Amino acid sequence: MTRKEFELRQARRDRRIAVIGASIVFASLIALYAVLTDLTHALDPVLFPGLGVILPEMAASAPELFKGFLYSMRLLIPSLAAGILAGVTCGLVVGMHPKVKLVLMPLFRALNPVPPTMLIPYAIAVLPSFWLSSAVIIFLGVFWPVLMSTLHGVVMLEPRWIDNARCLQLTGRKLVFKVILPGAMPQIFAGVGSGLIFSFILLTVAEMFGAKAGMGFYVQYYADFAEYGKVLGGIIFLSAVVILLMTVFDRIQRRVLYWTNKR
Amino acid sequence: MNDTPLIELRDLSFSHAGEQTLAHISLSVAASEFIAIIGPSGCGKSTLLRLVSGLLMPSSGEVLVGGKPVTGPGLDRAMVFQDYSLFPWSNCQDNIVLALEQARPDLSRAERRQIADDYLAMVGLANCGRKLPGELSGGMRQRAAIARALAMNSPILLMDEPFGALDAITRARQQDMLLEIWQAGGSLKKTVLFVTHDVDEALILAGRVIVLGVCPGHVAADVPVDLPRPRSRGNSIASSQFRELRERLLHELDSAVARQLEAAQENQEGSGI
Repeated sequence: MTRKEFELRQARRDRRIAVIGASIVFASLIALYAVLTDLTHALDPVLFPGLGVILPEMAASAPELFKGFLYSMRLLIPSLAAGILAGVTCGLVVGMHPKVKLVLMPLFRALNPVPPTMLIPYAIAVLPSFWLSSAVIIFLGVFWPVLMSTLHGVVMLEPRWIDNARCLQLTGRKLVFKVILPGAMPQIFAGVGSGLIFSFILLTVAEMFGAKAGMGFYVQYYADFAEYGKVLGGIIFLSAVVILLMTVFDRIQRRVLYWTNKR
Repeated sequence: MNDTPLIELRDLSFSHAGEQTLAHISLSVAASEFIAIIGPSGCGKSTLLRLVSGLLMPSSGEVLVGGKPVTGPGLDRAMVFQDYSLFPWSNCQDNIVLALEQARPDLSRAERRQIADDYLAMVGLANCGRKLPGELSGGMRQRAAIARALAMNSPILLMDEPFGALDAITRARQQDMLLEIWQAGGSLKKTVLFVTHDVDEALILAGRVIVLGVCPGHVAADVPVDLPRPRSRGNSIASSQFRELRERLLHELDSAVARQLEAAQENQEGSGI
């Protein structure tokens, strides 16, 4: 058995443990909920509708949920992409110019901790459309962590990589794309990861404020009518979407950062 | 024969943060010479190599390569570091191709790939082009780094303890490989500056050994190694000439270390008062 086969086998075994174990945990939690609601009626049936209520509600409002999903994605994806792109670009440019960084760092430190949620009412007042104000809020929520982590990544570059690049006389675009960007990638991904999680929070919060559709709107709307079966259904659907997006992110990260666990 | 030296260090001094690491170093290296630089740790031998590479600039004096003062790193001087000569995020072939894009921009993409494969094969890594540096052993990684440096076709090779992190057996094999490749260069042999702390390694490889003294670093001895070539580790190490040279170098190193300790003691006493 070669080392590669051994590693592969071990990875497969770990995956099996994870899948089976997680399924058992999920199933027990769902079963527990079913026992407390559908079977024993131990919990208040209005606030905690049983699975017998939630599942049919979800099935019935599947088209509405799907529409909400599309609406949310139309807001999330462009804002997320713009935030990542702007954060990485600014981080690289500022990080590669130590003097610019010295000048701008106090500003970054001051603006970075301002919670974007606080800006929502103001953004809605200032900007012409709801879509734009929500997009700006999500953009900011992604931009700051990505910017700060990119700056950190540039600082953390091993001096020997820089020596190596200098010996090869790498400059400009080649220096950025062949050395600095890949070298800073582990930190950049850490920032994108937290930006991504933050973007889900901001998306739903923004939608609860003044949207006409979207997953956050769906939950808010039916909560107003005390239709908690739909509310819980919406939350479950939202979680599923988040899990899906995080899985895609993990896949990309594992592929791009493959080299880091081979060092 | 052209007798202007290929590399010339003129009264070279280097200080960093108020501390002088190298003082008044003068050295001439002819084309196709293989020079080993040894010295106790902290004598500034790596600093000396970095000054020649252009990664560092001297505080005074100058480095001339081919008669021209060095103002920064150049592709005429290929560097092999102790580790990290390859970027860990690119496979071996891509690492060499990147170096070739810089050093030999006249080549086509396919030619660069071919040359990368050829040099990898030359150092015994024929099937490792697609592997990441991290997937190779330390010895294989250094061979790939040497392949990269050779592929660049630079007349000068600067090697900073390239085998320093390897175990004894791997190290011996790498030395033989380097000797073989260098000796096969015929009249177009590369000029090599090889930093090491290993006396045997210096004697096996080099035609001339520079011993650096300490506090601050200076040329303590310049010892020609007249062992017959072509050499290999096996046929050099047993000869009486080798043993005599080794005694002499060890003696030089010993006195350098002794002076370092004296200086350290004086410093301590001085600051104690």
